[in-house]
Amino acid sequence: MDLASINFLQIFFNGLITGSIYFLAALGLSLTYSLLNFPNISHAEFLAFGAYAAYMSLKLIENNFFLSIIIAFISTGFLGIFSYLIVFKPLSKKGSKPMHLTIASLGYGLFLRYSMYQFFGREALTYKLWFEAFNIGPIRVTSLWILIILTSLILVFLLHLFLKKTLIGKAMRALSNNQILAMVCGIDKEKILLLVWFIGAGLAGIGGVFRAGDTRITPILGWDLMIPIFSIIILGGIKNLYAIIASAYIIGLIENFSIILLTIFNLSTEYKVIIAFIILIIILILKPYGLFTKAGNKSD
Amino acid sequence: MDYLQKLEIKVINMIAFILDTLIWIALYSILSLSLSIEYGFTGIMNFGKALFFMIGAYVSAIVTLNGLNYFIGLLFAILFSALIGLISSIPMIKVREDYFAIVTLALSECIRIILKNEYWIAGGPIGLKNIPSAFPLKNLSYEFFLILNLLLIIGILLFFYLILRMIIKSPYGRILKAIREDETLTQILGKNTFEYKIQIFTIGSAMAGAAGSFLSQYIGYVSTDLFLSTTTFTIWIMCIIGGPSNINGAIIGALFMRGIERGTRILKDYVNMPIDPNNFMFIITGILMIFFIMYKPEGIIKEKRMEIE
Repeated sequence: MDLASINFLQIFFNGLITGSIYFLAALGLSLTYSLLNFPNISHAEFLAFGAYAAYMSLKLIENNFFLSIIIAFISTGFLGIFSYLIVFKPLSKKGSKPMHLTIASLGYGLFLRYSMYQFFGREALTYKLWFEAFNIGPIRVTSLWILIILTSLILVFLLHLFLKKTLIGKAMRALSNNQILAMVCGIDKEKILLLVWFIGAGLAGIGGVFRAGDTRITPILGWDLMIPIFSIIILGGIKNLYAIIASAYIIGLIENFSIILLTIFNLSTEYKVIIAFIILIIILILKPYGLFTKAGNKSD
Repeated sequence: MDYLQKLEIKVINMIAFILDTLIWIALYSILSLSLSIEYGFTGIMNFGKALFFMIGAYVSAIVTLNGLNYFIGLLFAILFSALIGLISSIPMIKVREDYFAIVTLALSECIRIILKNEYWIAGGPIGLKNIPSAFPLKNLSYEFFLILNLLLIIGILLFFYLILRMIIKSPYGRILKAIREDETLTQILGKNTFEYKIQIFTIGSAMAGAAGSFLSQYIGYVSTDLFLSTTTFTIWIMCIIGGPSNINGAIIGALFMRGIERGTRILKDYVNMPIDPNNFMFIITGILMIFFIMYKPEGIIKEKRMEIE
């Protein structure tokens, strides 16, 4: 393969799209992980749920993609709240160990995924929307890709405002930093947790819609992203939201640039998942508490 | 004869159906036992069980396809899975338990993707076919074939069951429980907990490898689709339901879950179910998993209290 023939700008742009979807998918997981101290394995199913919610909205309500994104956000957000109230809240109230919560989330994930298989069938669906393709300089783009990147940028900006400027956002950060201290200061943990599950699951829902728009809708849509999402979470060190956003784009870019390497060595491009996994292993061995975490800040 | 053709016969032949069910129960009992020693006794969160199951199946298949006896294949499968378990656990064992769960899950998926994409290792997505049976006798009736297989798998199960019983009753087993309860405390007592965990992970992987080896010769083919992460989850639910900290519980769990699986398959033939039996099984599995963790985390059979001489 000739290196000069590779359109690096295009690959960079593709990396940004992948990174945007990863950021949407990973943020909610990192929020709930830092507040309840367990990796919610059923988080992957929220992505698929969002994708199907948008599909239903396109089919039943109105053929409007923007509306369907909002509906996916809201309905997946409520699914998140529902999951918390039905499964995870009773468990953490009982004082279950994080180990038990992880296993329960695994069971809940199975339940969600196979319910989706039951309702929507095994065959992959598509949105049947036409996204216009055009050139910006040397880069080939579609309107969907522009939408993905713009939405993610706006959401990053809104989240930043929310976390830094509003009282609830500050309470959220305090809670994820030091739960007991935050509760002593009079922060209502339950209210914040409900909000966190709503936002986290909702963002995953949007991520699912974008992913499905780019590929197809299947119940294992979210599960396919599980390895990169967990790599991002561990790379970002779970608690630091800005680090999560940064590592989402880092993993997205690395994955897309790794495709060049894979084609040079004549390997299947499916291996880009493995690259994310190798990064995960290297980080865990070198820096067991995440790349952006300061050495002294290890306590839970 | 193809396994699917045999399945057709099975519906007609009740004895064969029962024998086949017993074989699957014994097979999953081995897997569930191996998870029980890892998770229930030592507290290792192994979410990559399907990986070692797969390695055992593939190694045994490759060995027997090269014309060697099945029992050599079984030996190779056990040794090779143990080796992979050892190598993979050394760098991973020191990370936190939730990270360990994530890493094993990801490792299992990655190796599966490699096997699926590399045709030269073991046929890629098609897998390996026509794997010779452990009992290559001609003119063997199907029932007799099943009985021989049942004896073989029960032999393997009994072998591992007795080894685990010995481990648990020994001082070594008490150290494992101490690691599960409080790893730091055990370290203060002067035990190298990482070494113990690596040893147990290796034993667990060897057991899963043996189960995989049996599977490959019994159904006669292996492909990567048999070892999805849902396989790992099925083993987890068996372990949780039966009682993770009791070796009898692991077998009860396998019996229970296989009962549900077979039950839905029989039900499909008699009742017009509005729901796909495969989906139904997993939905029920998921609900049961949450239910047990919530109300009965110790499982059907509780952990035995330690006897003090």
